[in-house]
Amino acid sequence: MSASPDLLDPVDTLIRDHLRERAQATLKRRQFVSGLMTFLCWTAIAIAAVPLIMILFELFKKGLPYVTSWAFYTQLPQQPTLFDQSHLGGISNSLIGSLAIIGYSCLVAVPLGIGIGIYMAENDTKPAQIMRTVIATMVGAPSILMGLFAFGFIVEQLHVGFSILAGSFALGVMMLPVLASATELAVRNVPPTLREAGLALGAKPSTTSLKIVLPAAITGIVTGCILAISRAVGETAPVLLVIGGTVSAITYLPSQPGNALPYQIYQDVISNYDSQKNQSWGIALFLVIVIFILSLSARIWAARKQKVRR
Amino acid sequence: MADTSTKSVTASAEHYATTLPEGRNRPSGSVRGPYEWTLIALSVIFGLVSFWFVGTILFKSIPAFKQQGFYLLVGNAWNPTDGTTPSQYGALSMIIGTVETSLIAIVLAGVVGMGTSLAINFLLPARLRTFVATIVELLAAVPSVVYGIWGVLVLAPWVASTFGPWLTALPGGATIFGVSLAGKSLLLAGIVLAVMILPTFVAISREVIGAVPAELIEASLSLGATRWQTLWRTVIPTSRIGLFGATTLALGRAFGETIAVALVAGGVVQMNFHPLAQGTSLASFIAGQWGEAEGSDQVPALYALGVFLMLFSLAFSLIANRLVAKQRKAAAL
Amino acid sequence: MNKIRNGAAKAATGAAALTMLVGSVAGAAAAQGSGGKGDIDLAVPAGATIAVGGSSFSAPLYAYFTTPTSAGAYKPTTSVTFGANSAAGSGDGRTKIASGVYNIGFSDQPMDAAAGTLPSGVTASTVKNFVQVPWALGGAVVGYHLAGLNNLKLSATVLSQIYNGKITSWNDDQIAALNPGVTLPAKTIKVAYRNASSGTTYAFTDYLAKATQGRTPSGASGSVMEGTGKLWGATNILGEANNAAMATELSTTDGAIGYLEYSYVLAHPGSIQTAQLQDAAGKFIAPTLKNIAQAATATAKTITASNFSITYLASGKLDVWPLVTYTWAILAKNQTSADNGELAVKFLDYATQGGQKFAGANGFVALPPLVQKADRVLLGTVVSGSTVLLKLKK
Repeated sequence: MSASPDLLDPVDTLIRDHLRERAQATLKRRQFVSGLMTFLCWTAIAIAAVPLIMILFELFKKGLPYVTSWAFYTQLPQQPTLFDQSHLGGISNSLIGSLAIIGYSCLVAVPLGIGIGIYMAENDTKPAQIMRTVIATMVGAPSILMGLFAFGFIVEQLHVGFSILAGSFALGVMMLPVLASATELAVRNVPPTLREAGLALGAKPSTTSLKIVLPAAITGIVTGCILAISRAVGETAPVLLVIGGTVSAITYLPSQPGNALPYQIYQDVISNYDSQKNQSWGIALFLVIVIFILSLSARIWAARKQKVRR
Repeated sequence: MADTSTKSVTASAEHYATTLPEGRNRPSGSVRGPYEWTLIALSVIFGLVSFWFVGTILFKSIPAFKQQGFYLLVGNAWNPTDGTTPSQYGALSMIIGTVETSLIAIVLAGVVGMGTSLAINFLLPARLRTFVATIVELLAAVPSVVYGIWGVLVLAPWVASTFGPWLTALPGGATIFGVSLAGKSLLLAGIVLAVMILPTFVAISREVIGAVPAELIEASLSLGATRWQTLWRTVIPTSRIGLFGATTLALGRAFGETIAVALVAGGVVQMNFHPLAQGTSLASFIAGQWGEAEGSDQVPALYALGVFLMLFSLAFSLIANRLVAKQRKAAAL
Repeated sequence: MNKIRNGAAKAATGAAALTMLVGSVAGAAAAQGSGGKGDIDLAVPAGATIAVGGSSFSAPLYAYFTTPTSAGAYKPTTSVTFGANSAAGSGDGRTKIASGVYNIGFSDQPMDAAAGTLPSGVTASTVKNFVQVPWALGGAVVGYHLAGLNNLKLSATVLSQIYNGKITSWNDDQIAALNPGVTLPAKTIKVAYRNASSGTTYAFTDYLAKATQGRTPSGASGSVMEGTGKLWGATNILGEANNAAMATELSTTDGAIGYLEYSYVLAHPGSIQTAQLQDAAGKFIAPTLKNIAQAATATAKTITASNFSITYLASGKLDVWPLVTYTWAILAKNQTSADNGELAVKFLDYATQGGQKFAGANGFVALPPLVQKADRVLLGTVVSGSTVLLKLKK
């Protein structure tokens, strides 16, 4: 077994040499392939970074002058004309409109979403399983379908007309599955021992759920809410179909037609004047900043909560 | 348990079907008090809403299916008329446009995204890794309209005025690219979609790859595998379920995207699917025609496009779930 | 304040040529347009709010009137609010006036059962619940992007063949025959059209149909893409959402051709070239505000309250642009809110009377006096309950 090379059969040596050569060759090849693929991975990250950095650069370069001006938030938009293309006004109506739309949709969607999330987490019955499938499908459903739904139901069937209510409804339906799934995940992530401890102490199941499990899951639920809101606030398609979006008066009542930030971006971008197209960067930057702040604060808040718990 | 809730801020809801923890968390005891009834009531409301959701869209589209029949699926013209001649509403070019733009997007984003996730996890220094991961997740939350305005205000004019003429001036360029080198095109829509879904794809695939146990990787390396062999033979197969989830999710976002495509695809209904020709997609066509849809038969036809979109999305999520379940089973064996 | 002055200064320098060009037209309009006597009481109920929108053809003009800082803005003595949505099209104006989102909907065609322009919810019998006012006059032009080759001559036959894909290159023999002495580039023609319901499309195809006496191959009927089920035959096509998108396309895409309202060309000085078109006598006419205005002058005597057709005339002593169209303001005959209704009719009265002197500065031409008179009669029929909303100053 441990024979020295000189004692070996010449054929054996031949085979061994051959094997060694082959091993060295494959090693070289493997190292080459590995190096090449590593290089390609670096290339991929560079390719991915270029457009994203370009977008952020453009966003800040063109949007900053708008975002830093107070009048941008307080004035109504103005139409440019051939001789006055610099006068654009601000976004006060779409800002208020967006707040109203998100506010109304949260009012209904948040309790509903959290409720069904808890239900699904606590029940493994057939209905709960069906709901889970439905929600998984709805999370991936194209958002414009919510616009079609809101148009058919709120605008036409209930005769509300193009309105803030219809917009809120569309966004609410969009937020529901996100909220529900986030809540279910959060509740399921609470260690069963916590609940068992509560039950063992003689607490009613409902009390255990509300007083022990929910507080433990609250981080996940709140981050889910913020995620849902930050996605809804920038959603254009469903809002485009149903809010009317025509009014440069500030409107916020559910029955009124309204405007919203992404809607205003869309209107600006398809305008005839470069100045107005430019302004869309301003609104977009504002929207992106709001969304970044929302998700970062959710992250920081969740991290801090966890530290405290530990 | 501690970090699941923060880690998947972006991803959790999206690939939730594939990541749901196995353990259930339910109260023992079958007495139903006000708390339980409230939950049941909310669930019933949800059931009604989702039922009504599907019902409304189906119901509104009935007139179009009655009027157009099979043409709705296989027709290639979109002609509202004044009623003296029959209208024609065919969704074929929107369906093909949808498939084409999303495929371009997923191929580009998949290849670049895979490389990016591997690079973030295995090549970047650890300190930078968290930072880059955070940036990627933030970018995944950027609204699609922002990618759309970048496409229409920056990319399209550049293609129309600089890149297009340069391409056409190349030898043979006019014959290959001469189709319609304006700024907007199906290809541009695909590229904008790719950029749009890239952060989503990377956010999830990075997380999935990061979850591969370090022992596995160390074992592979200690057996003499190169870095790439370890990634290719160990890391990617181990995380393939999650990667599959990331791909279907990104693809789902691409084919349902409305505004970004509406801004850069051109909105043209035609049977020319050269990537450089203009076209449209189901979702973006609905948005483009919505404000202008008149008469009694065009709105139902747009709802019919919605029905197709819904079927697409349903089939998609069912296939994805089925495959994930199958792979799970295979992995468990 | 400062900003306004800057704007004015910009207008003075940037568009000096334009101002000179339109000066005579505007002056003429001012003389015939508004006078103090018989004018409308500017006091409208405070807080009245109306939403207007639709036609991207007339958007530059109503945006001008509703923007408080423009020199010719409608300025009632009380504070009112306009919601103006200019980035849509005529179909949007008709659809949203019917659904009640707009108080005034703008459209380049009136709602008309025979023309197939009834929005959903309006039938041939309920269309009389709306008052439709021809409120502005503008020219559609054929624009293209070929640097240095302005004012090419294009016949209706050539145009319809371009749109049908029979002519695909700028150096086609038929184009060359119309433009002797011009070196045409061997560039592909990229055909831009409006991809949704559009009044500008209607005007353009109506012109093609009339000018070729229906002899054009399929595609050039009175309402291509608008109602007859005929499609453009060109394969190298670009879709545009509205006039603004069309203007953007024509100003950037080399070799593109399209049709759009004239003021959009003025907003992109130098980057969009315009074609000369033939009038009914076969004479090539250049698209200028003067020639557009002369079309209105030429029909001023034949116009009646029900017939405003002026597209495609023969030039007599005056050169008349063949592609001129009225654009319409539509409002409900019986207004639900008397306050908002009063603002709506008074705004339109201003726009069709005193405001017309600013039409030229916006790329439009002033309404002929006969049309102005007809408009005032039409606006006088708008009521809220039993109250007539347009009260003339005694």
